[in-house]
Amino acid sequence: MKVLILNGNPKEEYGELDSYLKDLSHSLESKNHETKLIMLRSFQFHDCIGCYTCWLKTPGICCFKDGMEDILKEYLAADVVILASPIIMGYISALLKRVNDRLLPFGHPFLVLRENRMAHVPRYSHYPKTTLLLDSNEKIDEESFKLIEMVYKNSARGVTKIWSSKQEVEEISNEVVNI
Amino acid sequence: MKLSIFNGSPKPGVNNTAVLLERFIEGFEVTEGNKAQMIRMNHEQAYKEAALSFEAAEAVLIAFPLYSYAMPAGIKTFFEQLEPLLGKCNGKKVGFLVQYGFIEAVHARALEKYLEYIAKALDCDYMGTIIKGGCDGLTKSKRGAKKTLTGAYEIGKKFGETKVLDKQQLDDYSAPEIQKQQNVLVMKVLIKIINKVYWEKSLKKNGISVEESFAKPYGN
Repeated sequence: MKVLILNGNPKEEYGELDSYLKDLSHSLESKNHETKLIMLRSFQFHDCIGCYTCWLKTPGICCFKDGMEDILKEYLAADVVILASPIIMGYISALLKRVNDRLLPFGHPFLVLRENRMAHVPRYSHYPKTTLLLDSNEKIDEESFKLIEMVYKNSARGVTKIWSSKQEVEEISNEVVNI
Repeated sequence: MKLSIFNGSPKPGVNNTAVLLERFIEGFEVTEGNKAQMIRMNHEQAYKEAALSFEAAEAVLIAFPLYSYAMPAGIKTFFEQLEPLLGKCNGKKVGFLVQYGFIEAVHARALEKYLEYIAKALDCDYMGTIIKGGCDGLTKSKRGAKKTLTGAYEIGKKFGETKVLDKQQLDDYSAPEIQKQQNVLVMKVLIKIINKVYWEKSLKKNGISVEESFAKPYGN
């Protein structure tokens, strides 16, 4: 199984999530899963500006060439993607949300009706199982955790699973394998 | 009332959010003494400056398009700038406007809960969220969106008079919540028309065929 972990921790001084994800990565590798851990803050990604170039001008390809194209390739090649972020102001980090917004080339502009609401047609025939790993240490976080879950469950592609970094690394690693 | 309006559309130029806001402001300023101030934010420096304007504002409306079922990354960057203000906004009035292409209101309902939560965490007086789907293309054709634009004007007008966002008015404006079963056939036809007239036409203008539009540059 191929696992891609995107580390959306924006703060270098906050090392706990970084080392947690390293442990998770090692644990998955020890179970013979090809694991790639990418530190998002080492890139200078542009915000998605909603220009629709990736839909209407160069289908599937973003107008910005800032390294995101390699992440999109890794994303599609994976069986499981873990989007990891500390909870900041009650939500995933702007850093991770930026990457989330830049997944627009995975969709196609055409609309379909699904579950009595509109959705976009997928561009690719299959996608990895996407999961969230939220790091919740601050006191306002329990409510945020539920709200983030609610937003992602409402989204068209959704997420398969949401984890908390309060869980043991081994527990998550076992669940990834059996997803 | 002095209202500071933050437009967080990430687009560099014209944007659907601004088109809606224009009409909202028109309505809002009908009441004498009301004045809206527009703050455009769509780059890193602007988010930092906007945080200062937010702190100084009497009442605030934060407007943006829905990106992957939530606020765009830029608005999240702005929220992160507000972190030092958690619990310190002394009941500052804050409302939101969220617009997007899909017609149904349901797409923004989970986000709405988050917006209420974060407003309250800042100790702001949460006024409500104006949710409006079917807004893709407002910058291109205002004629086809008369109801959407008039609605924004009416909400602005009532808000200008009463200083509160009327829940019933917002719900009427956001409808439909989802497509009702009996509408499904009609919607399927409408979607076919949108794909054909709106998207296919835009692709054609760029010299892209429908087949080419389904390119899979990165894999399967």
